[in-house]
Amino acid sequence: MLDLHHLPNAIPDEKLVYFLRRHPITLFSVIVGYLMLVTAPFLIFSYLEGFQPDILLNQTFQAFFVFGGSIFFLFAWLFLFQLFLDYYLDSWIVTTKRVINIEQTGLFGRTVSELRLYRIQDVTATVNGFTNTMFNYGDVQVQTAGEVEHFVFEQIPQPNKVAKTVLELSEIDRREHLDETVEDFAMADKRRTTKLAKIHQSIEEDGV
Amino acid sequence: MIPYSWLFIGWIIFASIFALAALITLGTMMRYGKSCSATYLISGVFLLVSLSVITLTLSYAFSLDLSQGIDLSTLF
Repeated sequence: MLDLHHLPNAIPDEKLVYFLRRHPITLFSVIVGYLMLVTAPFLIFSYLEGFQPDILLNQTFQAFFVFGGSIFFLFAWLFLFQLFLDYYLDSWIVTTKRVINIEQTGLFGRTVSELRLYRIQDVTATVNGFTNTMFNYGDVQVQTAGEVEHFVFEQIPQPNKVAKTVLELSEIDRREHLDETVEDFAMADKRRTTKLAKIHQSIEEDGV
Repeated sequence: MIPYSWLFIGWIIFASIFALAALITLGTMMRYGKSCSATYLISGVFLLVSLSVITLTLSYAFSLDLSQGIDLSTLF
């Protein structure tokens, strides 16, 4: 299980700041649809009880209805639980030292990505749409200097507040890791310089 | 005529498939879920509802005379 007080690869003096999931409203429409599916056998039973009670007295119909209806309900209930699981196991953890992105894909797929705060270059919060604005949820995109170019916190509550906090924490962490930050920027600069040199060379060779 | 026991056996097969899938799903929840009471509560609710439905269906099945044949002509 995921214990927030004992995160994997813990860093000394690391403290938890945010444990984030997608806003619950994102589940609403899908859950309502699945709940209607799950209650379908009961609704059909109520209809038959009210308008065609004779058919319910037929033992053959009863047996098919009970066995078939229970299997239908059980699998619909299982699909609803798996849908909820997909929401529940996706999370983003912000600590005073890093950001962790945990993404569950189905039952057998899980991706855990980690990013040190001093590598963060830019943080952008986006709130688009009527329901997003009304319920104050949206995306936060974190731009990095590392191999993984950006992290995206999807449909989280209070994205502006989270973005501001991540930016502040990254500035604090960058001051503590000045040497690594300079090295990162130097490496990025070196890669850019090498690429520019190659472009100039190809221009000279082609005579354009 | 087809006896009710065949219908019951068919139900058992599907219920077993459900049980296997539910076990795997619950295992994933317990393994990767956040260590808090909400995880246990949600898993408990899922298990309780599933077991209730299975128990009710089984109690209905045992109230039937499973050797009796299904008469489909009475449905139409």
